[in-house]
Amino acid sequence: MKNPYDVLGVSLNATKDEIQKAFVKAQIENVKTKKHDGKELMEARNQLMIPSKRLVADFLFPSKLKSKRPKPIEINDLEINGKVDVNSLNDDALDSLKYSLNYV
Amino acid sequence: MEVVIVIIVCGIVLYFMFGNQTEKKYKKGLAALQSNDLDLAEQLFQGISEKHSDAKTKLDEITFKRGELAEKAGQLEKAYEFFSAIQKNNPDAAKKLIEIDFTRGVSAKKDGDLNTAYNYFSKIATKSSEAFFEASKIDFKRGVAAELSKNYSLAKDFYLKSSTYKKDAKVHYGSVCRKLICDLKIDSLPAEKETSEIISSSVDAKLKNDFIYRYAVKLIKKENFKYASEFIAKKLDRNLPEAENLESFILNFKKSQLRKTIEAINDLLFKSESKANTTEQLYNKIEEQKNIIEDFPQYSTTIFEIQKNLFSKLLHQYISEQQFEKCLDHIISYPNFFDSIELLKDAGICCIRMATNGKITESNYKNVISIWLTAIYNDDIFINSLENTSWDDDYTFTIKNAVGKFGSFIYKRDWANINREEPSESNIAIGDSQRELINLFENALNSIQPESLHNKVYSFYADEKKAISDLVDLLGYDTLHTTPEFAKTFNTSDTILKHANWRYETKANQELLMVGSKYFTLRFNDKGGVIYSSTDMFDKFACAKHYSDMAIERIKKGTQVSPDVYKEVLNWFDKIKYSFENEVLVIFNSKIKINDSDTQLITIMEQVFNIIPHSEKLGYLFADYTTSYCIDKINSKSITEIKALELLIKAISICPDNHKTAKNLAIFIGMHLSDDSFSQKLKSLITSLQKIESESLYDSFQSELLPLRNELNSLLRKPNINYSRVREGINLIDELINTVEPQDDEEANDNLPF
Repeated sequence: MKNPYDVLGVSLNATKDEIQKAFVKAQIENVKTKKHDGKELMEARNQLMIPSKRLVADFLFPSKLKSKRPKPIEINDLEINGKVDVNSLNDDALDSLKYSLNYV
Repeated sequence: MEVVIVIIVCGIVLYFMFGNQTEKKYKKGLAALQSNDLDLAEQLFQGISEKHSDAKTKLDEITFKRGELAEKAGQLEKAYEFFSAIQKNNPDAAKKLIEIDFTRGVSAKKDGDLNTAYNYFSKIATKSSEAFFEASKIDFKRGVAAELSKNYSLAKDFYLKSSTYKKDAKVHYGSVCRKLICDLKIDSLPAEKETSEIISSSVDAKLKNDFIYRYAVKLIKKENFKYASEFIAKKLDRNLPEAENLESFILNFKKSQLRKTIEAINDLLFKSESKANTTEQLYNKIEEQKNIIEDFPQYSTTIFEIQKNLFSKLLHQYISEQQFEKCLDHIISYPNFFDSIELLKDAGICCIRMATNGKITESNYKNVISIWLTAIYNDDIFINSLENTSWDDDYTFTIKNAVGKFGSFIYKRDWANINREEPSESNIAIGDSQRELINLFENALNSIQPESLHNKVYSFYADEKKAISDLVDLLGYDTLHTTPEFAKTFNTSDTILKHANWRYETKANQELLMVGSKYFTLRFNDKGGVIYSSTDMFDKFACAKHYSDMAIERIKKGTQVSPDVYKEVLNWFDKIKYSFENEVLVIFNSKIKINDSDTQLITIMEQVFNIIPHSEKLGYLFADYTTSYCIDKINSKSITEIKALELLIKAISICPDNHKTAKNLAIFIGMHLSDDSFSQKLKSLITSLQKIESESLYDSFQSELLPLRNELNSLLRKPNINYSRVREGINLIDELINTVEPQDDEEANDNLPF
């Protein structure tokens, strides 16, 4: 299953005219490049020229997301005062084992 | 006589001589005992131990006194021996033994010999609470010793033992606390119940703080900062500087983690091209650090906003990299993803692309099919996608004949170029695109290999598709249409059932119950029976459907179906009753084609008829099949004439209008009327014929039995005939014809009130 927009090299918003022109151009180029077979080009054209079929193509090959690139986050107040290695934590800081020697 | 008198006199003399002597010795012994001359007393009592009843008791008393003397003299070993010898009969001696063991234990403990002391104490621990206490204290000390040598598993065993002494809170809670500390030392987080129990106990503060501190450190090391912070704040003594140290560590650690996350985000944002793999890592990192990020509100809003963008970015990267399985997992990980038209559409894209790429497997087909159908049956995903392109601005689109019957979101927004008019060249039918996609999906399913998977997938697809189509037809646009599997997986059943219930209340359409029951999850009791509420129609319907399915399965397998179990339930709803009837007819017809004389099938058909006695079709089929069966079996002599007679009468009583059965029954009776046992049986069955109102049977009896009656009548004029037998035959025929003669309708009607 090939993306008809890619096969003809047109955008998702291409008009019927643009599709037809792209189809003719692709056929001419294909003589040299043999990139597609004739059937493939014709199928792509038909799929984009018939609106209900074009809806199917739009469903199967959705447009890439165009989103604004978020701004980098500035780091202002994350000063670290002290160790951050968990292994530096002393488990025995409140050790009660020696105290337990005379507990009972 | 003289001899006997001499013997008696001698006996009396001897008794006074020696008997008196035993008593004398006993008294002497008592005197010696009183004056503490134990040796003499012992000698005297031993001499008469067999002759005097109290001598043995006195000997035990002497041994006890000797024990006491030895004990006083500090000769505990010797005393122990004396008391041991008599402990069975002397409870005081047994007590003395416990006292000696305890004294020896105390002495060994003083000498620092804990092993010996423990042996003495533990020996009597069950009999002496004090000894139990002492043994527990030694267990605790041994636990501490094992802990010091870092043998934590052994230490835990000792603490477990010492914790069994509950009379002393110090020993008990101290032991439990040290055992939990050992758990933490071997990197095992104690259970919450044990933890809160010890924290709320009266255990020594030093032990408690040690435990709480270690527990908090363990939480930090496991990066459970939220709980660690709460734990420190609520449980650790705030006066301890360590509490502040830990809190400061947590804050620093969180800051450093947040820094790393922000740096990674910034790094990715500056990369011009990133792959799904990179985005995925960052997305997951933010997800993992969620708890930390939430603690820094000055950053969290921005970061979570970026995570949302990353979610969409990742989704589209997966699609463009054709990683549809991952993409689908990513989408459905989003809570209630189906509430978003965009996500539902993207999920649908993943499903169809997985299908066309041959990625349907045993483990994913249910998910893929149910999500696909749910997506494609919601028209909104198409309508919404028109927003993303401009080529369609010149067209209008119609939702007339769209597969989803307008979906659930359509009325939430104004759509400029959507209408419900007839499709034309410029008014494009969205339904056409949907149907093309459905065909594409179904074609992809058709090429699934191996065949076993294909069959399973296709049957599942057909059921799901039928369910959602029916749902769409019955519910229309007021809810999200999903397949039953989708509803159960993503918990949308309640909404669907609620809407279906509203509709049922106004329309009372049992189709709604049929469709709704597929979205219902049955509840079973311990014995496997269905639990249902008789007031909840969907519940009751689902229960009846379950029993109907179960009965159909049994019939398919050729197993008996007890009418008692199924009769009531299957007749609750006409919809179920008639669909059950249709299904069983199909099954029986196919079974009849395979085997035209199956005894078991007759039994099952009769049972099913008892479940649905209204079924004329089933009655006819039963009578027809039974008649053929009887003809076949009688011809091959596999059943008796009497058995065939019983079956045929049963068949005609179930289906009185079956001409074939009526005719064959009449012929059969005519053929065997001269048989004595047959005619006797027939007489006994005449009462069951009385209930049958069958013109067919009356006609058949007349056409087949009247000529026979005439023949018998003519015999009466001939000589050498058994006239009484012939008359019996004639009478039986008359009785049969009279029994089945149809009632006069007019006469019957005369009795009606109107």
